[in-house]
Amino acid sequence: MLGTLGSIAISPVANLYHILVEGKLLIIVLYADDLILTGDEQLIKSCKEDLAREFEMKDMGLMHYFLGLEVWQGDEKLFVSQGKYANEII
Amino acid sequence: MVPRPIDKSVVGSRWIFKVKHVARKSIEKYKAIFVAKGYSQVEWIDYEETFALVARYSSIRSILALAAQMGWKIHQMDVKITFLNGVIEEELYIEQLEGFETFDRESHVCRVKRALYGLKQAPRAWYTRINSYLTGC
Repeated sequence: MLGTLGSIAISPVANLYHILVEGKLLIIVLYADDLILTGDEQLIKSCKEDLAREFEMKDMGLMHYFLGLEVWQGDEKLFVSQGKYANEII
Repeated sequence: MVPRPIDKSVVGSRWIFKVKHVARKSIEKYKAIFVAKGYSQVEWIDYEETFALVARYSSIRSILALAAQMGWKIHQMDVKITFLNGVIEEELYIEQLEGFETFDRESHVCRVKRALYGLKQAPRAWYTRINSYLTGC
C-alpha cells in the first residue's frame, strides 16, 4: 500500500489507520466510502496521491461537512456545529 | 457472458433512474445505476460473510478533537462508485442488462467480477479491498 510512504502501522480494529514516517504522523479514518485524513500535511498530500492512483476518488480538500457535522477550520481553531442537521430533522 | 448455468441461481438485475434537482426546482442531472436484485440471494448458497466494519461516530469525534489539539488540518476524500472497487471471488451470475441484451444470446447471463450495488456481499467486498490496501496486506 501507500507506495511512496513506505512502511505502515495498523489499528484497523476501529477503522482507524495510522502511519508514522520519520516522526511524522498521519491518521486515516475509514467510514464506508469516505476517508478522513489528518496529521502531517506532507504525508496527507502523498497519501492522497497514492489513494488516487489506486482508486477513483474525489479529493474534497479540507473537511467542511461530514455525517451531519459542519466543520470550520481556521488558523489555530476548529469549529463544529450540527445546525444544518438539526434543521433537517425538525 | 456465459450460457445460463443449470446448477447455479442467477440474480436478477435492473436499472434505477433518478432525477436530481437543484433545491427542489430545476433539474441538475439524470442518474442511472445498474444494480443486482440481491434480495433473492440465499445465505451460504449465494453468499457467505457480509460483515463490513464502519468507524464509530465517537472515533471520528475524537479524531476531530485530536486534530484541534494538535493544530492539524482535516482533509476528506470520497471514493467514486465505491462498491465497484470490490472484487467478487465466488462464482456469481446476474441477468443481462435490460436494454443491452446481446442479440442471439438473450438467455445468456453475466458472470460477476465486481461488487455490484445490491449484492449481499458488496459492502464487505469493498471493505476487504480498502482495508487490505491501507494495511498493506
